[in-house]
Amino acid sequence: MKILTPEQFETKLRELMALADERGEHAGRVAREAANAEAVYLEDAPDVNEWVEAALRRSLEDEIVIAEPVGAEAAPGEDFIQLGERELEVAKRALARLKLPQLSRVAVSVGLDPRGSHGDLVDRIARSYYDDPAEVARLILTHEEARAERGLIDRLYPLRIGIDDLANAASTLQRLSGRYIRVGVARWFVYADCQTQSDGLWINGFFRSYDADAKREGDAFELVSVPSDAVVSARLRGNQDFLEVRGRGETESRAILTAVEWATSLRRSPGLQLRVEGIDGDLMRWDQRSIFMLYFLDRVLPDSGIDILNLTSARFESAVEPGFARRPTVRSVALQGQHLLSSKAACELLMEGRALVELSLDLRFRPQPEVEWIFPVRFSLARDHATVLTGFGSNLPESAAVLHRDLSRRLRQSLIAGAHVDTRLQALARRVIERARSSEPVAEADIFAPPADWLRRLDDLEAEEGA
Amino acid sequence: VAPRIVRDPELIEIRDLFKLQDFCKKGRKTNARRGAYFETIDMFIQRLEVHWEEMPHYDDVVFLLVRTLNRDPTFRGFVRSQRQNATDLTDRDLWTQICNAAAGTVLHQYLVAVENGEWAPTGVAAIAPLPAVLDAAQDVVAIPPPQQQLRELNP
Repeated sequence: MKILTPEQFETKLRELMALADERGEHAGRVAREAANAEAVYLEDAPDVNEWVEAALRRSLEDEIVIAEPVGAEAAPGEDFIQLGERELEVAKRALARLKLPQLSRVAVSVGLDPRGSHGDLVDRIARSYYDDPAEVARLILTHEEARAERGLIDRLYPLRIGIDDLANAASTLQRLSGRYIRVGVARWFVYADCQTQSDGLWINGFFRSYDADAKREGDAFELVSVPSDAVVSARLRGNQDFLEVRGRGETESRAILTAVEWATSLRRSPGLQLRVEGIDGDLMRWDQRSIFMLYFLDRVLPDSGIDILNLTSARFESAVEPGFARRPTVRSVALQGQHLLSSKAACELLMEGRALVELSLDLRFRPQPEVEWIFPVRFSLARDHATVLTGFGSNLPESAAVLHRDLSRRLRQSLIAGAHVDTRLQALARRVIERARSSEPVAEADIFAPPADWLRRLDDLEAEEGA
Repeated sequence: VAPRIVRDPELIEIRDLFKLQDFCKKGRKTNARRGAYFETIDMFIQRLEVHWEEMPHYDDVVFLLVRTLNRDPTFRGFVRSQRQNATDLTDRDLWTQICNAAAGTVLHQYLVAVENGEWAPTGVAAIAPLPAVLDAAQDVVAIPPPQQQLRELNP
């Protein structure tokens, strides 16, 4: 890499442009003199020079280090990076959070070329919109998958022993308010408060942990610790064998579970047992978690104003072989794309008996006929709990909360009621198996396809843009 | 660093539509032009290679060649002759695409000539035309093509 000042870089660029022009005239002269080549001069010839200069500038900026003068006093905390460069790089950094299929969708939505690598797309989109940070933010939030930092997340832990007497448990937990217990190395749970409401017992608290390291300054040795806190709450309903935990991370969720276990007679179940009834035929070879997920997607989710628009990522797991294995094995496979369960790859994994343990999808939510929101959502099944995450997308958190309550309820009820294999689910399984065995390319999503009115609207939009 | 030269079927379509391979092909009538363009590429590489680390960034050369072709009135004449005057040479997007496709084609011909020992680069320290680069260079840099115009030209 060579370092140039901006002035040297500009000079270099100008020299190259001048050379290119001069060589073009020279080549024209040579061709005319040697072969009497026809020359065409146009008064209104299009100007490509601006395009060439921009393209070459961008390309050379990747190859040459440009030592820019600082825009203000270069000191920690000051904004001394040139504004344009800073905006561009910040936009790139934010866009880089999106995965490649999401970036492709962003590019399509704004009329940019959706091809290329992750880096190419980040660069292309950032260069088009870096001077409009609000638009970059909107594009990211509209297309990102659900993530815990920007969403609501409920974990449902099945219980081996529930609490019959909620009032008694509430009284015990109330007495612990303002006290903390240690739940791990440099990890504590603080009981904040406990409330009995019509829909169950709410336990609120927070999780405090310390990150620690050793350092030396001069002759002094020091242990440095950085605290971090996470708010977490849990709800226990009467006659229901689940503890519903709302907290961003799994660590604090387990902490409140431990805290409730220690304070009451509640005991967690060692594993998430899914009830799937009526399995026979081809489905005998499928993992129960996959059957449960398909049942949930087919029968429970799309109802009362909720429609599946797009299945954007799926994670499959297979059973862990105990001990050392000589045979190469793949334990987990993650697929990313669009309308994944219509894809041959996903159908093959289901048919092979891999467990579908996580699904990210875009849902359309219409709480009223005239209101329509699109949310990124994730469902996952872990060893000892199930999770539903409702991302905010480009909507307000309040509207996400409305959907989240509904999704959490549907997942909870599905875990309680279980899945029932009937002719409809068997027909769905047959379509999955046919897709897995087929060698025909799939032109359009047909398994969990978007609703017809949504597709019609997309067609109309495309037609409008084309016109 | 792999050259950021990518396959682009639409540019290949333009190349074939306007027979851009013939612009600098080997031949009695075009050898002088071929030499002039190959010398030009030598000069570009000479000035650019100081910034290339391990692999040549041939897309830099393509961009410069676009400007060179745009400045060469006989290139405009060549393009017009290929389409029997039916092409609107004042359309900026289409013209950019044509220059792009031609630049990639000329660079490809140059790299093949160097590889085959038919062209000795003048004053160029390091040229590394690997087979993959050769293959890729033919398809040049991708920018969104003017589909509408392509359809009109080649219904």
